[in-house]
Amino acid sequence: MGKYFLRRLLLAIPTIFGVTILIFLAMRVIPGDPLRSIIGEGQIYVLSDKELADVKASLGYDKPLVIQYLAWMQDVAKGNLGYSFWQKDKSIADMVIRRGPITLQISIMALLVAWAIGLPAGIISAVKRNTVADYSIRGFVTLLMAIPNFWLGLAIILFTVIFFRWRPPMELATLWGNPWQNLQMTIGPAIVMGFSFGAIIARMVRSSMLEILRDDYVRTANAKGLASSTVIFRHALRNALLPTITISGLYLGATIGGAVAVERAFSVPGLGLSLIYAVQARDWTVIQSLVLLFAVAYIIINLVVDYIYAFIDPRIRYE
Amino acid sequence: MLGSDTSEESAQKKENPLINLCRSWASSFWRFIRSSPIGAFGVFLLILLGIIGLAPGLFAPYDPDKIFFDSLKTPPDSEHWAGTDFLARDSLSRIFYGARITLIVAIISIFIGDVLGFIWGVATGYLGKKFDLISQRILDMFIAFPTIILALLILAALGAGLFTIIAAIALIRIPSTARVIRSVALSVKETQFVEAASAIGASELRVMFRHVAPQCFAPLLIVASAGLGSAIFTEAALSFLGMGVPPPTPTWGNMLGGVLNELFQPPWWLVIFPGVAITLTVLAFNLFGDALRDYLDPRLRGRLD
Repeated sequence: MGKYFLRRLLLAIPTIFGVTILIFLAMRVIPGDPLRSIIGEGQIYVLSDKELADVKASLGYDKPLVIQYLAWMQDVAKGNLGYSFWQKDKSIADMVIRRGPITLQISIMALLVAWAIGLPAGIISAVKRNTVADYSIRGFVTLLMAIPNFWLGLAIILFTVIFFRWRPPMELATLWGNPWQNLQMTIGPAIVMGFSFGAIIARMVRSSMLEILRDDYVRTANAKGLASSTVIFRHALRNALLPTITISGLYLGATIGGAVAVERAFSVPGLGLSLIYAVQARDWTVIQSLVLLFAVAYIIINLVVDYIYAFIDPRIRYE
Repeated sequence: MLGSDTSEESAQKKENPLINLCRSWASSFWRFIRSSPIGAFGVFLLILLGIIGLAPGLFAPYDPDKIFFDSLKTPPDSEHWAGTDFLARDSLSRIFYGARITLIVAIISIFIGDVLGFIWGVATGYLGKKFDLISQRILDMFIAFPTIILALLILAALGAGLFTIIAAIALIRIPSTARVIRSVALSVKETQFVEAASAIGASELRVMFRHVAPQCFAPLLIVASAGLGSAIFTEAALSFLGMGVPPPTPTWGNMLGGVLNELFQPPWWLVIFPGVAITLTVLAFNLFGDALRDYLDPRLRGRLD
C-alpha cells in the first residue's frame, strides 16, 4: 500500500512541473503585447518604445525566459501569487481566499445533489429494468445530458425573475458570515450542475448495477433467500459504486475550475467568474495564477481519488 | 444466356468498385437504422441539421444581420417567429445561420483532434517502451487541466476567433482520444496476425498502419461520434463566455451570451430558442453516437462510459 501511494505521488510531480511550463509558455505568446496599452486615467494610454522598455525592466520581463520562469516558480513556492496586472493593489492570493470557498462550496453541493438524484434513479432503473420506470428515467437522463448546464441556469433565472420577481444575489456572502444570502447565491448553480452530473451518475450506476446483478455472488445471495433489498444494497450496490466514486472525484476536480459558464450565467462571484473576467481583460498575471491553481487542485483531487480507490478496491494496488 | 449474363454482371462488378462500395455502405447503413430506431431518429435530426447548416438561406426568413428598426426586442409574432434581439435582428434567422458555425466548429475540430489523437494513440500503443512512457507523461500534462480551463488558456494566448476555437477544441480532444486508442492498440499488438506480420519482415511503420491501425478504427468512430456532442457543448460555453466566434457572426453560444447584459429583465425568447437548438443538436449527436456504439461494438460500452 505504501509503495503504491509513493509511486502515484512521484508521478504527479513531473505532471505539475509540465503544467507550470505549459502555462508559462502560453502566457508569453499572447499577441498584441498587453504591456503596450496600459489603462491610464480612464483612457487607454499607448506607451512609447522607451517607456515600454522601462516598464518591462521594472517587471523583470527583459530577462531571459528561463530566469523569468524560475522567478515565477520561486514566488509560487513561497505562496506569493502576485497582483493583478491592471490593478496593482489587487492581490491574487486575497482573491483566491475570498472567492475560492464559494466555488468549492458550489462544487460540493452540486456533487451532493447529483448523488441524491443519480443514485436512486440509477438503482431503480437497473432493478426495474425495461419497465415504464426504467424507460422514463433513461429518457430523462438522455435529455438532461443534452442540455447545456449554463443554459439551464439562464432558464432558471428567467423563470424566477418572471414569476417571482426574484433573482439570486450577486454580492459575495460567505457561508459563515451570511448563511441565508450565501445559500440563495449557491443553490442555483448547485442544482443546475447537480442535475447535469446526476444524469451521468444515474447512467453509470445503472450500467454497473446491471453487470453486477448478473454475477454469481448475487445469484448466490438471492438463492440463499436474502431479502432482495439486502442483496441490492449490501451486495450489489457496494461494487457498483466503485466507478461512480472515481468519476465523482474527477467531476469535483473539474468543476472547481470548470464551472466558469455556470458561474457566469448566475453571476456568482466565484473563482471561475474571476478567470473569465481576467481572460477578457487579458489580465495575464491573474490568468496564470488561477489556471495553475485549478490544474494543481485537479491533480491533487485525482491523486486523492486514486488513493481512495486503492483503499476500497485492493485489486488496484497489485497491478 | 444465363451464363453470359452472370459473367457480364461480374465484369460490371469488377469495373465499378465504387458502386459496390456505395452499395455495401448503403446496406450497412440500412442495417444500422433497423438495429436502432432511436439512433435512426438521431440520424434524421442530424440530416435535417446538416441541410440547414449547408443552406441556411433556404430556411431563414431574413438575412441574419438585417436590422428591423421598428421592432427592437419584440416577442415572437407572425413576422418574427422567434422574436427579435437587442439589435433588432430576426432571432430565427440567426439560429438557422448559427447552425452552420456550430456544425463547422464541431466537425472540423473533432476531425483534427481525433485524427491526431488516433495517430498518437496507435503509435504510443504499438511502439511502447520509452516512447510510450514519455508520451504518457505529456498526455498527463494536458489531462491535468479541466478541459474548459485548457481551452480558455489557449484562447487567452491566441485570441478568440473561428480558427482559434477550432484549434482549442481540437487540442483538448487529443489526449482523451489518444488514451482510448492506445488501450485498443495495446491489445491488438498482442494478437497473432501482428506477430505474423512482424515475423515475415514487415517494417514497424507498415505493421502499425496496415495491421494495427485498421483494428482501432471502429473505436475511433465511436469516440468521435460521442465527442461531437461534447464539442458542441464546449463551443457553446466558450462563445457564451465571449471567447468563441465573435459577433456579429451568430452562434448559439454568443446569442445566449448577449442575454447576460439584461438579466434583470431578460427577454424569454432570446434565452429559450438558442438553448433548444443546442439541446436538440447535442441530443441528435448523442442518440446517434450511442446507437453507433451498440452497432459497432457492444463490448466497448464499459470502457467508454
